[in-house]
This record gives sequence, structure tokens and C-alpha cells, in this order.
Amino acid sequence: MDEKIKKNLNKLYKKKCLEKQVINTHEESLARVKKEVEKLKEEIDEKEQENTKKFEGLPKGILFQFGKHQIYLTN
Amino acid sequence: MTGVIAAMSQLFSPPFNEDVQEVRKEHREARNNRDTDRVESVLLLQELINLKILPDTLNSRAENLVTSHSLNEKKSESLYNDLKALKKSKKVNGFQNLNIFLANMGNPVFILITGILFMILFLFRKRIDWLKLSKSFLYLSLMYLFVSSVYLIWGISNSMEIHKIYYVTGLVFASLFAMLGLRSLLFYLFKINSIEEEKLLKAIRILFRQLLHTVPKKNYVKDDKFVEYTESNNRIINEVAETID
Repeated sequence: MDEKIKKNLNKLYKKKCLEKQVINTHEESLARVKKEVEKLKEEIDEKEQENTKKFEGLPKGILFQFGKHQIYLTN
Repeated sequence: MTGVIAAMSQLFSPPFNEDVQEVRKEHREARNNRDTDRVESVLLLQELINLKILPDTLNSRAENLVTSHSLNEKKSESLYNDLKALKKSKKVNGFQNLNIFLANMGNPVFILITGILFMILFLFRKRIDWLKLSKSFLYLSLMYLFVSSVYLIWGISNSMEIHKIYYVTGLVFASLFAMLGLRSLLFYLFKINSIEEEKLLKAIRILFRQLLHTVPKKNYVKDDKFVEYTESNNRIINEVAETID
């Protein structure tokens, strides 16, 4: 959990603005967010690797031109 | 009503009894006449001495008496002046001494404090939880009962000086109950100021409970918006924490 959020949650709890149960739920939410972000990162990495693998057989240093648009294949 | 009449009842009886005053005046006159006659007698005796018609034994006794009278008169006058000065120095605001002053001021001060207390209760009447506050009334009531008991026992008893044990017992219990009663009263009265603050804190807790607990638990936010929602809550938490700092 972000240290700043943790500190601020504690501060609000000490000032009686928050209940312990609410802090616990928010910590669960933060954990869920962290997990989802990690999962998305993994998916992105996998997709990148897949794409890299898929296109690694293509010739390098070739320039395709479609009208005004250009696609340059690099390694 | 009974209390007010009892407190003011002294005004309806004269401070001095007329018949007593009359007799006292007569007594004072008789005493002054007696003293005047004594002085006259001494002066007469002096004249008789000056005429030298008395036998030697009587003359000697008469001279001794006149000398002694003269010395005593001077001494009496000097002591009377000292006494007047001493009495004047002991006076406190027109009262004979500190004891009488305190005896006369003690109860009015006690009543004054009670009046101030009632005024405070009146001013805070809308904010006061009377049921909680009334807990202190038991102690305060016992304190009043003990203080009044001491005075009533003193007033009703035949002796003007009541036994010290009544004073000490009354004082100890009255002080104890006064302390407990005022402690309880002040504790609650000081808490009154924080009632408004407590209400605001409760409102903040309700809002945070809705945002951080109820909404995620009840799945009111779609899964694809959950990250965004939580980050938004984080920003709110930081802002509130900085505001109340």
C-alpha cells in the first residue's frame, strides 16, 4: 500500500474520521487494485512477447509505404 | 419560595429590641451618673486634703486614694484609646472582625455560586442532555443537605456553640459531595462544547463509510472502473487529511 495513503488513513483514524472496519475494506480495495494492475502488466508483457515472437521472422530494415503512411520494420 | 422567604426573613424582624434599648439607655445613664459622682467624690476628697482638716491617718489614706484614682484614670483613658485603635484595625468592611465578616459573607457567596451555576445551566439548556447531567445532582443535593444540616443543628440547639464534631463531619461530607458533584457537572459541561464537533465527525465517518466500505462491498462500481474509483478515493483521503491537519 502507498505509504502516504497508509499514513493519512491512520491520521484520519486518530482524528475519529474513520472506523477501523472502513480502513480494512479500503486496504482490501487497494490490494485488489494492486493485484489487477499486476495482472494487467503481466498480460501486457505476455502480449508484447507474443507479438515479438510472431513478428521476429519478418525481414528487417524494410520500409513499406501506403500513400502518405510509412511502416519501417526494425529488429 | 420557602427558601427565598427563609433567606430574607431576617429583614422582617428588627435588629434591636426597643425595650432592651430603653433599659440599656437607662443603665448607661445610671452608670454615667455613678462615674460622675465618683469623680466628684475624689475632687471633694482633694479639697478636704487641701484644707488640712483631716487627721493624719485619714489624710494619708485620702492622698493615696486620690493618687491611685488619678493614675487609674490616666491608665483607663490610655487603654480605651488603644482599644479603640485595636478594634478599628480589626474591622473588615465595617464588620467587627474577620470571623463575623466571613460568617456574614459565607452563605451569600454560596448562594451566588448557586445562582451562577443555574445561569450556566440556563445558557446551555438546549445542548444539555439533562438525563446525564442529573447524575451530578445527587452529589450536589447531598452537599446542600450537609451544609444546611450544620447550620440548622447550630440554630436549633440550645447552645450557641455546637460540638466541633458536627462542623467537622458536615465539612468533610459536604466537601466530598461538592467535589464529586462539581467534578461530574464540570466534566459534562466541558463535554458540551465538543458535541457539535462530534456531530461533524460522525457525518464525516458516515460519508467515508459509504465511499470506502459500502460501495466496494456491495459492488456498486463496475470491475473495469474499480481501479479508477479507488484512486479517486485515495485522492479524497489525502485531501481530507491535509485539510484537517
